Amino acid sequence: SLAALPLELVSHVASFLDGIDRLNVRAVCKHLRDAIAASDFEVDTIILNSADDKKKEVGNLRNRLNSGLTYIRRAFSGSKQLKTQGYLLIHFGSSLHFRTSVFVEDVEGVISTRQKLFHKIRAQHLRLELIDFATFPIKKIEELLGACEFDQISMSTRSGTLEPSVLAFMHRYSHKRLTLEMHDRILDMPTLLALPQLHFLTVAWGQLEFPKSPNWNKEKHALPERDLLELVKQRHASIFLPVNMENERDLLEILMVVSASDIAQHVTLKVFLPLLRRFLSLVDCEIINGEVDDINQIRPSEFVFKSHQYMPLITHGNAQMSILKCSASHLAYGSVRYYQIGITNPIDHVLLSSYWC
Amino acid sequence: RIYPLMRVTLTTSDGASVTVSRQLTKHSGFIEKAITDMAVDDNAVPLSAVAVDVDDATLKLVIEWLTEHRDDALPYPEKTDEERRADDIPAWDQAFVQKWDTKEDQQQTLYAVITAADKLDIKGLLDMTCKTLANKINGKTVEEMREILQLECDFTEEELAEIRKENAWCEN
Repeated sequence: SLAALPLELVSHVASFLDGIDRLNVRAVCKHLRDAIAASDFEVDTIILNSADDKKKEVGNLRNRLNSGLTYIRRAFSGSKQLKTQGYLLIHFGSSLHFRTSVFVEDVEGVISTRQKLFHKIRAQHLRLELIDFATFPIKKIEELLGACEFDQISMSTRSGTLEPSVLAFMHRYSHKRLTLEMHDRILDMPTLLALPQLHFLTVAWGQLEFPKSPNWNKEKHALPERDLLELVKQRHASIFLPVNMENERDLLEILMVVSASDIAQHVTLKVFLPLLRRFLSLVDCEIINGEVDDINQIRPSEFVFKSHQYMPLITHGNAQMSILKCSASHLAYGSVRYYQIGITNPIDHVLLSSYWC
Repeated sequence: RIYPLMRVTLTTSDGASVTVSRQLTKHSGFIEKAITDMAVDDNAVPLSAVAVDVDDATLKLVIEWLTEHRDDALPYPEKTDEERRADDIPAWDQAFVQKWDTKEDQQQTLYAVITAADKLDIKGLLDMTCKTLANKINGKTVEEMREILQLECDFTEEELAEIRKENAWCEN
């Protein structure tokens, strides 16, 4: 019978079970309970995120409280604290979900149960979304994850800085594919400069859309152009940030830095027409009839202009700069025309296609 | 390189002997290691017999599966880029299992093949049979699982209560 199979073989069977089945299988008999605890769990993505809308979360909790779940009742016992301290939601793949408050009892309860549902988890992607690391320190996050293998990490932040322990965590996994997306505000420059080399550094564009957005704040939501230059020199593979781009010479310098880079780099920028005109003049080109798809090269120079699939391209050394006319008409505050500039070295179609999309 | 005509004799736990092509045994880590350990010239035909801790009836099933999968790529892929799943068993394998995994058999043959695949280190067969077993209990209640697997509940009431309490930490 199954009970006669060695534990490691039953654990191998268990490795093909999803979260819900694991919960049931461990209640069948002691042999299966132990096999589940010793099994590996392979999922696509692990997501840890702080509840985004605290009021809504509290409302959901009230409903759950009424449904009689004892653990919620326990977590809810200090509801005043709860409103301010928030929650952490943990999704191991699509079928195993936990929620914990900051209370030690809750965190330990989740860790203890997680340990009984698998021995080691492997995921392609670990996503740490909008976690309040002051409330849930990175050490606690790692305890919640347990023995965990993953290929890439995506982090999103909403504060102006990162704790040293979080930066240390990022550096520890800098050999993985690491992505950082900033929400609500951009990290301060010392923190940005302390980041390890990233695969992609960006903001949540839906929230930090553009200088004409009603909530836009120059200090919080955009980077000075010289700071962008410093970040490009940090050799992040791809950068797409809102920048207060005012000086065409700084744009030229970014092009030069990317051109001289010895790694594949891609920088995307949103700029307005006046700056673009000044920049094109600087690289011996001009816009005809006010349309970027009609650019004329005034004289031969180190900057070579050509049109590729209706997109103007300016080449300098190893770098190519593409110019794309865009309109943000979907935003509530009206149509905003801007130009999206992509500076790439070397041409990496995978990078380009993923970021343009 | 393994030549199609190379053959190896396997002796089973119940004393039978079966001679099979190295084209099949190359998928068995155990048999390949045994042959390597013999340190014989690959051209020496026939090789000395390799003893396997599998009975004759089960070995015949293993050989039938190996014959169908003789051209599978080696090494067996350990990791995939997707969530581990049990619903991707090839049609031939499903039909192969259905022939002998009958209700009357009560999974005994399936357990025997799982054990044999493990002992002979045939990863493809081990995964397929373990997925088959996982599919039997997938989506079932605790009681249904006990019935399908013919297992008795050996928990005390207190232990069961503790499991329910632990499981309640999950949001599922």
